[in-house]
Amino acid sequence: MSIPENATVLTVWEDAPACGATNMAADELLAEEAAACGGMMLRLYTWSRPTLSLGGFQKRAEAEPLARAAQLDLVRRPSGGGAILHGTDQTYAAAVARQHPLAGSPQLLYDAVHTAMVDVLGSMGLEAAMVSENRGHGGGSGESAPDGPLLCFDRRAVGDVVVGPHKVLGSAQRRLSGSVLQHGSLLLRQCDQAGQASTRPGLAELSPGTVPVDALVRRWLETLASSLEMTCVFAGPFLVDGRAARVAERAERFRSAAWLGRR
Amino acid sequence: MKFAKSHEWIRVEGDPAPGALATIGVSAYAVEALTDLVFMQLPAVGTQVTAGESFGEIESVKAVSDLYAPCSGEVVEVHTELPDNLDLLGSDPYGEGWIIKIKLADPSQLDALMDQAAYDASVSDGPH
Repeated sequence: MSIPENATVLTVWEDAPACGATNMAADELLAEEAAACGGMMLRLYTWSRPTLSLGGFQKRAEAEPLARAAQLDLVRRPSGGGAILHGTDQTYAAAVARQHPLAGSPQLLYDAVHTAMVDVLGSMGLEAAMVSENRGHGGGSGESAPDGPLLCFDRRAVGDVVVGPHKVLGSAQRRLSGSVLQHGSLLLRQCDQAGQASTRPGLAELSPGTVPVDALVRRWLETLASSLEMTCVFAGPFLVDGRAARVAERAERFRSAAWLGRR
Repeated sequence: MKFAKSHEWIRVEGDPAPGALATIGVSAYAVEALTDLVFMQLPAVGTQVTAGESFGEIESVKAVSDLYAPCSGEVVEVHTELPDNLDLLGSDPYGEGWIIKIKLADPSQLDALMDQAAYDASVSDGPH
């Protein structure tokens, strides 16, 4: 196995809030750049409007009532998993080249990112842990669809980060020919946007004190890099220079009815 | 049987001539790595697939993965029962877990694929 030259660098970008289509297009470009550079890249971002992001094969019709009632934008991710209500979360997209050691199986990257978060939450006094068995996904033998609970935070997959019974971090991947793209969402505080559908406590409700979000995220990524014997490089915004125009072009596909309604 | 780096296998019935029937599936290694499959999207009969390009998608609890055609050709049969019986991919990946059958367009594309020994060596050598 040949290890890419950049395999020991974790490059982190952080962008200003953007719409769903722009965020998905940026993540697609991130995955391509990761494939080309051979290293690990991670993009942090939030959303310009409350948005419901569907997993790659979730049924649009099942999400529309919630989106309409709560006036949420709707976007479909290329990654799998359940729908995520964005607005009070910290979203990330991580990407590694297929020849990177973390790309070997879905669980490797998932566990690396989540273990670092468990460590950091633990240092903040929160009893965080990773889930040990899958629950609530539907599908599998006898069913032809990922027809588990609509929302990601109502599902439990091996490696999800929970504080007590409450899921606070979940992730899902798209495994492409040149890279692996992993989306994840850290629930910072309860979202009141969608009524009963979104009343899950986030870190703010679960923590005994104030959660310093910027410091938490920075420590998370530094812990992740350290655990992987990587150097963490904070590189500023991803959507700059020529990338912004390329992302704007790609965003049209994520806005299209064909993409959103593919299932 | 030949294997692609992306873990699909292809088996040609008879001589590998243009128009020969070839069956395509995914390797046991790939199925095991994905774990807990929940959904699969397959092409329709008549679709033209291109070597190295996606012809379908498969979702596990944690990941959506593309299925890449090892060779180009026209889809002539689709294992339509597979999405409702995904266990077949794990229990019999090289038999009842077949995915599509194509009419082979260019048999020379088989030369770029790995035989079983080379594939086994590649997956024991690290991630792909």
